[in-house]
Amino acid sequence: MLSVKRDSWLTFLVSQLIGVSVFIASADYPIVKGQPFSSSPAFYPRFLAGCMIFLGLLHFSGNLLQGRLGAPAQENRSLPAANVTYRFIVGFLFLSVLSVMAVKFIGLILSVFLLTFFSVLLFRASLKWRDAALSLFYCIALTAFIYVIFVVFVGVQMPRASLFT
Amino acid sequence: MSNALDFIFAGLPKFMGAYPLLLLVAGNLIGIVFGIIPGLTATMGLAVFLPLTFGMTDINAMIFLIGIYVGACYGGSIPAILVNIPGTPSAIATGFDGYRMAVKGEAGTAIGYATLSSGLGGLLAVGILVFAAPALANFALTLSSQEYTGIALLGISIVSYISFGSTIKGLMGGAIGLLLATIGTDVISGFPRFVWGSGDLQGGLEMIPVMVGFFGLTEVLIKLEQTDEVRIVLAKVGRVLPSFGKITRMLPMITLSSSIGAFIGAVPAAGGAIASMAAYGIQKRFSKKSREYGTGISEGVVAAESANNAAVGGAFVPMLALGVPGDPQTAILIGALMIFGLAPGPMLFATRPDLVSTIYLGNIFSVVVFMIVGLAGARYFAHLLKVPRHYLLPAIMMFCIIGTFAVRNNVFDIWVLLACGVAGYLLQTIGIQPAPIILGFVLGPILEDNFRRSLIVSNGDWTTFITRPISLVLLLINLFIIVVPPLIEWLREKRFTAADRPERQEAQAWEEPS
Repeated sequence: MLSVKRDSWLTFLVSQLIGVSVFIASADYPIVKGQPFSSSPAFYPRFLAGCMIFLGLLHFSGNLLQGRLGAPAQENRSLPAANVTYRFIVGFLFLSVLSVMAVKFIGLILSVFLLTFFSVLLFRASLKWRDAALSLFYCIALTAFIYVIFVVFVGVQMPRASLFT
Repeated sequence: MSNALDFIFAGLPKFMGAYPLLLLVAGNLIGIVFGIIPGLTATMGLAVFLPLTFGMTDINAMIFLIGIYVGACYGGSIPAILVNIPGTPSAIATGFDGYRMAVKGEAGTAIGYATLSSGLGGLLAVGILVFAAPALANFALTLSSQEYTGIALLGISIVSYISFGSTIKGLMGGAIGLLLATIGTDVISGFPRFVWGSGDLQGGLEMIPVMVGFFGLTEVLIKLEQTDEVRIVLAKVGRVLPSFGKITRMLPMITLSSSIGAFIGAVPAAGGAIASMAAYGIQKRFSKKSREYGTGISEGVVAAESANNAAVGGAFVPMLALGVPGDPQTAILIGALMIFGLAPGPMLFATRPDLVSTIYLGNIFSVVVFMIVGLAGARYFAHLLKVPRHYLLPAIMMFCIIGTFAVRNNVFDIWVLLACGVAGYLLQTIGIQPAPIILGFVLGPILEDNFRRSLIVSNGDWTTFITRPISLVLLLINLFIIVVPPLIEWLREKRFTAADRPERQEAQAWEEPS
């Protein structure tokens, strides 16, 4: 769990980073002379970025002066911080990225099926043949159900798989 | 009074047959399914099934489509309660307490409260519509861009206040959402902003990938933090039907939330998300149990859900009386009426009173249908909870990915989903919740359009927001919501006596890492 101090620093950094990035990214946006600045495409994002920077400073200074303006960040996380592990998260995100990259080659349905199957294997405590077979059966059934709803029922056009065409 | 009732029941004979009733039930079930499954929305359900109505009469088509609309708005609350993933944006506030009730083992009761309050809210809204529709519609018509700016800000300030933790972090989340909404072509100047040459970003970020990313994937990643095999929600669905006495005691609350919902729903583009958030925020602000909101109390579910479904009724006011859509769903319904050669607007009341009556009755009967389905099916919906984590999380991810892709058949949206999910997870670790981000994102175009238009019209004069009475009142309400609660909290802390200090130090020690 983050301490209030560290949480405050991180919040401050994130808010300043977002605010400054918006100012930099919108630096070359056109401003029409003779018209109010509000008509420029840069006006509104910069206004919001200014708000973001101000809020970050306000939050940080509030914590600095010990006049905490709100509750600590972690207070309402839906899960307890105990037993936190990142290996499932990293593994799952890695599989997700791989499967999206594979859509072009093997199609969406197959890539999502593979993502689901390997995710199930990743999250399972045991890797016995029986469990793997059960997982495979579950993933096939789930993929078939999804296919019926989205492709047959809703009529979603799935992307073509270059490997099979 | 009797004229109004006569008007409502003028369309009753149209429902006296197996076919219209079958269409109503089928529409409701489809709507509930679209509401329950993350990634599917009421808008998508209506759009997908609109072609099916071409072979029907205009009255039957309206019965079917209203069934989908009302059913989906209710259905969105079920995943919000069971897995903390709102099926629709209007169910965001339902999850605040509903999910925590489910965690406490009261999933069935939460669904029961959601069903009954949704039903009562929907019925009250129809009553409000019939008797107060002209006044509501006239008021909404008088609002200008300054007032709309105030209304959009109200949505963000309320969600910042009700989001757990710091109000400032809530506002930061709102600002992040508003910034995400600026991606794409600027409507006023036509200049592409933050697109970096990407054709996919020219049209801006789609709502579904952003919403599913921040709510769906973020939630999945948080669940993956746990090493132990724990189910999504350790809940046992017991008694579904709440006690009659408790519901009766909540009637004033339901009435207030429904009125708020119907009013906000009648404001074009405001919609159920703002309505339920506003009702939740107001009920929380003035409730004796204010501090318990967000911890899993039935009042929180009732406050959000009654407003949510009342907003559906409210959205029909500008649609029918003025021909202006209250939300994307009513925009599709307007399209459906136009397909049948009908022009929604004041003349519809004179030329097709039977159709208007059918729309009111369709709302009433849809409410009855989803109440029966919801109360009878709560136990079956709760079976989601019994699926082990290693099965449920990949399945949710699968629905999220395919549902996101289905919006516009674009793989880029899946990348947006992944990016938003990771961003939402990282932001949550510093206490910035997804709800203000999503509200900011949804309200972004409305706020920017009206805010900039007000300034352009007034030639850059910022006093334009305080010289109009309604706009001034809205801004003062915003200021009150943002400033007063932290100020009260600060004053309370100042009042700590020497005797209280050890307790406070103990609390701070708990916050520090061991």
